[in-house]
Amino acid sequence: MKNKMFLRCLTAVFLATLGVMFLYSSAFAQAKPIVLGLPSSFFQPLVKSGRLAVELAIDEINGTGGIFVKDEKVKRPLKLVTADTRCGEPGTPVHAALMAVDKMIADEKPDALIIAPFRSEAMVATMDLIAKYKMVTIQTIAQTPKLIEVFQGDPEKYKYWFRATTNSTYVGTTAAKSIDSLRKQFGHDKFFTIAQDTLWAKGSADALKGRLEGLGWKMVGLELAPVGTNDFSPILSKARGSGAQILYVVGDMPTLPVCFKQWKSMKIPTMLFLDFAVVTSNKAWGMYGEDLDYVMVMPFPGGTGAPVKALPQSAYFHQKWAAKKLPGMDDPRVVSSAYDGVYILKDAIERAGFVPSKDPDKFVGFLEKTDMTGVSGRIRFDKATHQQIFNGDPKESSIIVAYQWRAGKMVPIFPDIVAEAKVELAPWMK
Amino acid sequence: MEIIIYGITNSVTLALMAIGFSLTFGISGVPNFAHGAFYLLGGILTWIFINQLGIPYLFSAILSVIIVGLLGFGLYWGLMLRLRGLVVNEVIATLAAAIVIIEVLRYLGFSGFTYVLPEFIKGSVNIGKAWLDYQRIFLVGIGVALIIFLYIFTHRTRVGLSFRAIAQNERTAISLGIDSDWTAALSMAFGSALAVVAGLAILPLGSIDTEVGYDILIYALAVGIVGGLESVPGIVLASFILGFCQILVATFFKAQWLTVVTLAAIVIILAVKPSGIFGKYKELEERV
Repeated sequence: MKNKMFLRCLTAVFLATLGVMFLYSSAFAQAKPIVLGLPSSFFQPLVKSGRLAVELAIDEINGTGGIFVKDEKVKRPLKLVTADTRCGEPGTPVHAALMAVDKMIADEKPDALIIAPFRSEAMVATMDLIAKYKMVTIQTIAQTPKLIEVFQGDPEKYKYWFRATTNSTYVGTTAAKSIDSLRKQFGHDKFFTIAQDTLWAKGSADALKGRLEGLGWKMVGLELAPVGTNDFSPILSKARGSGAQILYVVGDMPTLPVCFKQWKSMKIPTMLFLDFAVVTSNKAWGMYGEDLDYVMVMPFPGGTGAPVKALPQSAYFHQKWAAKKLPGMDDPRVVSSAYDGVYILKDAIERAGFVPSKDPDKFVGFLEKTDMTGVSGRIRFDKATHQQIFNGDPKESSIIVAYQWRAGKMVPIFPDIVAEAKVELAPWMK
Repeated sequence: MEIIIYGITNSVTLALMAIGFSLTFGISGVPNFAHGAFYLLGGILTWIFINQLGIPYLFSAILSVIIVGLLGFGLYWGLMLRLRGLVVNEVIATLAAAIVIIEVLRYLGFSGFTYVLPEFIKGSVNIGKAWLDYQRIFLVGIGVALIIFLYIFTHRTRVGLSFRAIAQNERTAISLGIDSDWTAALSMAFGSALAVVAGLAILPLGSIDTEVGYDILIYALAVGIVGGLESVPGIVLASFILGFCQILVATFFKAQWLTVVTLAAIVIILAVKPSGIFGKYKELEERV
């Protein structure tokens, strides 16, 4: 009798174990990861930081069990696969970048792409691959307006592309407006430009000139500094004698820090608006210290370089970054967009109830209806361009913020709606 | 006044960049194309010693000078000794060494703007009507001190005299018992160490980036070609000519012509006096 009872118990335990194993294995099988493809140029500091931002978002989402996919009734974790397009390295042809993207899509079969190629030329060329594979893409680096032209040339074909960051038009306009705020505050109306003697920097200088002159400013000098210039004293002396109140400096060469250091040591009587990505993150103070005091900078989009009180998500993003002990950003531009990009996908998957690769055409409709809060404000897309909307009010759209360095902190100064202080003149200008 | 002040600082900067290259070439006859790479390596080593190992600035600097000096010695003893006299091979070998050093540093991540050496003293002073930062004053001081040191060293010390002897006539120097290989290797070590000294004076003005390794070589070559590659007085004179020309062009014309000034000076000198202002090599060739 005892033996019979024992056998019954044993059988029950055995069956229960089998049942648990079956349930566990079926659950495990269903929890197949959602694969995010990240094809970009990892040579570039902003891509390195962007990848960390994507991984940060993925860790957070996977920490909660993953993304709930309604149609499959299961939470699926995210998995990141990468491919180095090398398009940010000198001399890499566009077709090499395209091959890297193509190979990744063929080999890894991602459900969606994030960040995407770095160089605008490579990104424009990638548009056809995105269309060919119907690959939903949240693109967060390339800034060229050309992408919108391509999209609008055939919206049905290119509908899988979404730019979840700024574009150069927004950036240029906001830079001009933030400089123009000094006219209202101090009556300034003359500016002097120092541009690195390269095509992109000259392009930025030209664009800003047009915008500022449209706002009533006068450019009183333009100097092109050859790459490698390590003494800016003659140029800065000219700026001093020009009567300019604003000095706009644009470039990315290794010797550009010499320029703002000399601006300070020579006590040039202008405010300095520096279009130089390296000095737009908190890390820069550790490198250049008080040489940055009073310098105005504008990382984009808002909140990516330093937190802004009016953008609560920006504080959260920077806290999480610090808590994970991630390395300081060498170039914070568009890094927060990479982080937001993952959440944009999560939000759309949860609303759609399926992953992008299952029905990309239908999924696009859910992305178009995105309305959520991100690091730089409210995230929505313009249906006519698939471009994230940027404007001056974070309750209505995303924004770009200009800061001024003060005693080791980047203080938001523009737009007024999020400014935490007024611009302060450098002491030698008072 | 501004033109004089900034002209002097710019000229001394150029002289510092070129002097180590000239010293090595003048004595050993080796065009050390790894000069810029040593300049860069010295800066990065100093940064590592200060920021990663917590060694004080002065000791870090001295340590970097010694390490890179030894590396220069090793490059000569290990490689250049076998190629001596084969000019094209010497150029290829030193250029290859430069590329290896710079690209390995790039591979290890030493590019970007993270690597900044602190200035010796922060701040600036008004001289006449020109504001000048203390680092540039130090830079001029280091340049002047280095030239005085080199003069005393090559005229008053045994090693320095052997340097000059080899530079003047190697065969006669050998007949007097001077070991020419040893002396040439020492000159390479000295030239490499001087590259680091130049880097320690100049790099705190900006940031350390691997591209600097190539840029410095170009400046050193430009100054050397104008002044005479093997002539220290020529280097000093050429630095002042180029330094003041650059400042004048940037002041009275446009800064974008800065590079053109340097290249035009090279072309003119090569056409008029190929050995450079104080150079002797080409003149000897022409006489032969």
